Formats: sequence, C-alpha cells, structure tokens
Amino acid sequence: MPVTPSRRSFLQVAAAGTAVAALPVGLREVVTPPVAAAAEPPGSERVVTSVCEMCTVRCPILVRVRDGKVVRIEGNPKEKSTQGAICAKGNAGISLLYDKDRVRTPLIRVGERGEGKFRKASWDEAYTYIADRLKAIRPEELAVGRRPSASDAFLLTFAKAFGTPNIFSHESSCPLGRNVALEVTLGTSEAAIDYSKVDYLVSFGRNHMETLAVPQAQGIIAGLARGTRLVYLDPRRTPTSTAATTWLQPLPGTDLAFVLAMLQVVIAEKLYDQDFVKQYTLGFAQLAGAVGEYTPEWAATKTGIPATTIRDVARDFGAARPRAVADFGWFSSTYLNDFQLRRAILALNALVGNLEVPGGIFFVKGLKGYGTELGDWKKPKFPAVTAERVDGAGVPGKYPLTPVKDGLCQVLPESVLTGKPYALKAYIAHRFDPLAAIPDQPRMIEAFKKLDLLVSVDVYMSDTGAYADVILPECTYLERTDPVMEASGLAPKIRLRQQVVAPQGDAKPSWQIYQGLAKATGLGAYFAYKDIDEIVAAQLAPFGLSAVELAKVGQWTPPDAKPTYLRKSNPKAPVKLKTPSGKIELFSAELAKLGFDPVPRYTPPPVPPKGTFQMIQGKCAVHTNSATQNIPILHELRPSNELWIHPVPAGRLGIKDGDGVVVRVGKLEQRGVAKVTADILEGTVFTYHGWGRTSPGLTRVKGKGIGFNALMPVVTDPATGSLVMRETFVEVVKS
Amino acid sequence: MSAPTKTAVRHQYALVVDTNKCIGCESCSVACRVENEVPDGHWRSRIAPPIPGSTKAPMKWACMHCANAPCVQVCPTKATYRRADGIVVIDAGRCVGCKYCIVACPYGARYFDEKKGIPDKCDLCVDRVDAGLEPACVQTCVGRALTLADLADPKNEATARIRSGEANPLHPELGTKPSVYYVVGK
Repeated sequence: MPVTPSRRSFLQVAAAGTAVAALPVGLREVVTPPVAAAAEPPGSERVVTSVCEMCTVRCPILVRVRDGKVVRIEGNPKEKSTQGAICAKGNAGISLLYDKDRVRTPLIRVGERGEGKFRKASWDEAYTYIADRLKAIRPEELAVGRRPSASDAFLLTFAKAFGTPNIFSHESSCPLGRNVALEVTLGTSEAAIDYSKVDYLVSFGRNHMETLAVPQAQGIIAGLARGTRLVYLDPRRTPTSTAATTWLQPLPGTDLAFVLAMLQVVIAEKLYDQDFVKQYTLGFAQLAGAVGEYTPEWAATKTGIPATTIRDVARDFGAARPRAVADFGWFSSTYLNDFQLRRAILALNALVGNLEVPGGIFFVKGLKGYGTELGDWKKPKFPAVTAERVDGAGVPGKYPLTPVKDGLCQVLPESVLTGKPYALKAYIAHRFDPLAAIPDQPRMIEAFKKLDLLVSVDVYMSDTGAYADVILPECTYLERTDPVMEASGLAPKIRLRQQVVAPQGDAKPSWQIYQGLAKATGLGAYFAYKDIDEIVAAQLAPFGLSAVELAKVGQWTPPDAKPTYLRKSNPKAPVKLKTPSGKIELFSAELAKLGFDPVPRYTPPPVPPKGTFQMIQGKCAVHTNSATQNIPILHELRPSNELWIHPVPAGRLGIKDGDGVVVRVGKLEQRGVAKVTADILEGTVFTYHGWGRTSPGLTRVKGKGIGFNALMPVVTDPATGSLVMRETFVEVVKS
Repeated sequence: MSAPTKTAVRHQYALVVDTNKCIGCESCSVACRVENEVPDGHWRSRIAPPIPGSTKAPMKWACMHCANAPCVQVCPTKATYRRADGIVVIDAGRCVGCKYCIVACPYGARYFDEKKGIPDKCDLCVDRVDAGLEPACVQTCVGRALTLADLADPKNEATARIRSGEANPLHPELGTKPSVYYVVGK
C-alpha cells in the first residue's frame, strides 16, 4: 500500500501550522544510552534536530523517526544558508545507517594483513589487545590520523594523554596548501567568502556545483539569478561550467599564470582600491614589481586562453570592486605552484578591497572573538612531549608553515620503513582511510605490514581497515551525540549533533571508544566523564544554555551577536590581522626568510612527456572523497568511475566510448572503462576520485573503477607540506 | 487500505523545473527514493544527463502528470487515474499489474515494483501535498530549481511562469498535455 496510517498522521501533524516551521519537533532530551528501538510503540513518530556528517560541511538536519527507525532526513529549514535543502548524500544518510556492510562489532585480525580475515571480539577484548601493544612502545611511536570531525576531541585527548606529538589529519591531502596561504597572507585560515552577495566571482577550478557545499552552492545560484557573473576555469566541463557565465579551459596547472596576468592588468590600469591597499596591505610595490612582466599576452602562451579574454576578465573584476572575489578554493593538493597560486589569488582580492564588506571575504566571527567560549570536561594536564614529530611539521628547516594539528599524513611509510627520524610502531586511523587517500599505495601497504599495531576506527572495513589488527566500529552520526560544534560565519553559531536512534549492533561513539581504550591503557583519568550529556552540559554552561534548549532549535547564536562585516559602514575601520605586520601580506618577510618567493612568481607545471596524459581528478556530487562509494543508494547512483578522454587521442589509440582501458604509470596500472568526450582537453584525462577500492568489506564497490591515487608517487610541497597530486603523467592503452 | 484521497480542495497542481538553477546534483532523486520507499534498483525521479558536448543543463525527469495521460487511457481497470487537482495516481487495489501503462508512457516514467506488484511512479508526494507540504524533491532541491505551482492560484509565482510561456512542457507534440513545465535557456 502506498500510504500507511502512521505516515499520514505524521504529515497531518506536520501540516498543522504554516510551512515547515510546524514540524513536530518531538524531542527527547539528549539521552545516553538511547531508548531501545523496541521501546517505541508502533505508529509513533518523532523528529530530531541534528547535524549531517555525510561530508565535512555539516548541514543542519531534521531526522524523522517512525517506530524507532529513521525513515527520512530533511534539511533544517531554520538554517537560512540552506533553506531546508540537503544534497543527495545527506538524503542518503539512512542508507549508510542501515547498510549491512557496516562493521557492527569489534574485529581482531586472524589472517594475513590485507586478507580481510577477522574474528568478532568484545570491546574489552579489543581494548586489551590494543592496550597491551601500546604499553610496549614509547609514546612518540604512536601516530594517530583522522579526518577532522566533531568527535575529534576524544582521539586527540587520547593521543596527547599517551604523550605522542604525531597527530595527523587528512588535510595535507586536501586543503592544506590553501590553509597555509591564508595563514601567511591574512593571518588565519578562518576566512570565508560571502557568496550570495558577490557580483563578480572568479573560480579557479573550485567546482562549487559538484563538490557541493550546499550553503556555498545556494549562495552562488542565488547570485547568478540576480545577475552575478561567474568566471570558471577548469580543463573539464562540469556542472559549474554549465552554471557559469564564462567557462575557460586553461591547460592544467597554469591557473597561476592567469592570476598573475590579472594582477598585472589590475595594477597597470589602476583598477585597484588605492586607499585600501595603502591602509590594509604590505608589499604592494614588491608585488607590482614582480608581476610587471606577466602580461595577458604572456599568460596566453601558458594557459592557452586568449590574452583579450584574460584582460577582459581582469578589467571586469577590477570594475566590480569591492564585490569582486577571486575564490581561494578548497582542494589544493595539486601542483608545486599551488601555494603561490593561492597567494596570488589572495593578493588579487586585496587589490579590490573586498575584505570585510558585503559580497567580499570575511573573517569567521567565532565564539572566541565574542568573548565566551564553549566549556570542556575536566582533565589532568597532558604530559610534556619531548620527542620531535616524525614529519617536521612546524619545525624550522623542515615544514615550519605546516600546522601541527594537521601535519603531513603522507609521512607514515617514510618513518616506518626508513626509521627516520625514528620509526612509528602503532597507528590509529580514525574515520580516515590513508590507503585510499594517500598516493604510493604499495609503500603504504609495506609500512602497514611492518607496524606493530594498526587500528582502524570506522563504520566500514575500509581499505586501511582490511590491513588493520583491530577494527573498532564507530557508530554513524545518526547514532551518537557529539560535543557541541562551532559553525560560525558572519556571527558566532553553535550546533548540536544529537543521537537519533540506538547504534546498530555493537557500534559505539568516539566518546565511549576512547574512554574505554584509555581505561585499558591506564589513562582513564583523562576521560573522567559519565557520558556525552555531561560533556555537552559542561560546554554549554558558560552560555547558560541547556542541551534541551539547543536541541529544540538545532543551532544557536548568542542573542546579542549579529552578522558583522567590519568595514561595511566604515571602509576605513581598523582591521587588525594576525599576520606579523598586522596587514595583508602581499609581500611576506617570513617566506623570504624561509627561502620561498615572498611575492608570487610563476613556476610552470611539468609538461607531459610525449605519449602521456596529464591526469586530473575531481569529486562528483553524490560521493564524498572515498567514504561513500559503498553506501547502497549512492553506489546505485554512481557505482563506478570512468576515464574521460578526448575523441582525438582516443581515436589515435583506437579507444571507443565504453571500451576497457589500462591506465599506467611505470609498473603500476589501473583498469577501467573509457568515456570518450570532448568535455576534457586533448592532453588530459580525468576520473572521479574514490574508486579503485580493495577492501573485501566494501562488497559493492570493491574492484570497481580507477584509483588514480594508486598510480601516484608521494610528492610533497616544500612550502606547505601539502601533497602534490596533479603532476603524474599516465599512459593509456586499450585493454 | 484506501487509495490516495480524491481531494475535494480546489487546486490544480503543476511542477516547474527551472533548468537554469538545476545543477544535476541528484538530491531530488534520493529524497524521492527515501521518502517514497522506492525499492532498490528503481527511481521515481532522476536527473536526465545533458547531451554530451552540449551546454544544455541536466534536468529532473519523472512522471509528467499529463492531462491527457496515455497511462490513464490504456489502464484496463481504471487503477491509474488523474485526480481533480491534476496529480496522476495509482489505486493499488484496482491494479492488476498488466504493465500496459509502463509501455504506454512516452516519458518512460514508470517502473514495476515487484514487492507491491504494481507499476509505480512519481505521485508528486501526494500525501505531503495533501498535508500542505511540498513534494520531497521540491523541499530538498539544492538549487531551488523546483517549484510546486498551483494553477488555481493566480498569485502563485510559478503559475505566472507557466502562463507567460516562460515554462513549457516537454514534447508538447505528443498531445499528452503534461503538468511538468521546464524553464530552459538563460
């Protein structure tokens, strides 16, 4: 039957008032452990406010529960930046929650590493197994790697209590370069773009309509509808190029030439905001001197884009100031010149004076600036760490600009296999799959095999998990309450991800996992809380806010905190930046001291050797990195990837659309299917990232598609510590 | 179980799809799939890919809720019918599963639900609409490209887009008089 009485009754209640504000937010108090599914009577309905975790964006959601089962997830319409929308991934959260492939109980390895043979274990057994091995190593020989999340505090507390400096995030395989450029230039990476009010946006490969941060995409779509111009540079046709008013196809890795030429035109034709540049920036003269030679005619020879087009874009950009923005992007593990590309983009923004005005770039107005911060649970002082980090992050002479909270996640094999500066012996990968995310897989596997202990904390048996000694099943975001998270923008804002239903099987939340592990390791004092509710209460105490109040609305801004642009009413208002000079550093003395270009200069990307292709990757709208390809509904939408190749080289190689192909770098190869299309440049091949998976626990996606990461060597940007993942060239043959 | 209500309220529903705002993200496809508990392997609504090499935007593709619906005409048991408000629905109790409607639909909007034993399709989330809510696809749309229009309400903005000829049905030459209207081209 298409309609059940219970569903109808829900809808009728929902429609009792006007619009969606009338949804029956039938909230429980934040309860741990949860009410068992059986305790909810048949026909019962409730809606819980929470926060999505299908990607990093963390959109606020409403979760509808019927008979103790999640039946639907919608966006929370109270959030203005999403208007109740969520993406395909957010809608598919239920498909992750109830996926039979999830790991539901702790697993201890019985086969060889990588075989994926495990036996079920109790949590106590798993904790003891891990603790016994951790007790046998020195503190610094443990490394932890994670995809940053709202539950970070527990893994980080464990690592710090254990006494290791070797804490990594996935950032060096993603936005690290851009973050460092922001730190150096603006003094903080906590900067954002006021998308919905921008009049002229230039995006250098930031594929907003497909990487899909919903608030950003909605802002841009709303802007386009009222006449915003969007200039989009990408060698590949994407949904963003379709939405853009101008789409340009530069040769891969030459965006920097385009930006330098824009700088040259804006400066030479005096299209910049002279008052702004004088008051808020440092090093204009050096910048002007450095870019003088980079004319549009010069840039045309590098990018393949006509000089007149480059000049027009620069002029339009200057004329639209201050509501003109050059997007500083997100994923920046691309070319060796990426760091200077981001620096040049930030210089371009500085020239048009778009800082802290509507339609420009703004600093995140967080709780810290507001004066009251979230509380924390009480814990003893962490032990002093004397050992150096294995990756040199934050260390002079090594990677001084790399934030130590992130580090270089790619160094694990180097440390383990060479013993330099010393060998890591244990690794905990939390919600992070280094084998899928980091290049040079053979070496990563070699390192995994040499470790004394490899632990994967995840919802699935990931590629890394298949090599682990122990897999600890973390529950999904729908089965746990997280510490209160900050989601500030123009005003401070907090959100609560709260538990919606009981965990599947024996899965546990981070706050329990690391508490249990700490107790077994003798570090229980650092986790002296009763449950997550106690932590949330401690966090909210400084605001006089209860968890129940926050849960009702899902998110909260201090009542006296309003959206703020520091220069909106007074364009000369003082803005103190956190850079050494307190200004936007077009010229960076720090970079000069470290031996890097203090103002952006051009470095060309390597040219593909004859017979090879430039290999580029991107994200599709229905998957997140390598995390979602196995989720049933999302897998069905896009089960595999293809190798995009232009008809001209495809014809030369005898490859027709749909043919099997082998993609090769030296002895390494990946097999897949060709998509012959004029939507990509002739010398470039493309695939969506996240396939080529190997874990037997990923029953749907295992063995499907092409994993470019498997073909790449590890190359690290000496300036930022970021991976360089676009400078590998591949041979393509018909299989 | 009763069939979907034959509503007495005077509405005339239509769906407007603004392809300029559609980014092809498939959010609507998944919202529909989950909301309507569509079985594995089937979709009531999908994004039709743009023609390769063209600048044409992707567009949502589902039942067109035709005023002159071939599926209604061929149904031997009158299980498929068009409500007074324009929504084409299926009375599962009357359906004998003959699948004529699947063949008859020129838009390929129907699939056979093996579990229910009926050919199913988009019903514009009729329960939601009857309850005063937007269809799931409209509610979740990232680009705000989808709007539920009520032709009986002249103040409705989406209705104005239909009346002005800005939004048009697909393949009008088929004479099916669809209630899904597309805004195409910038």
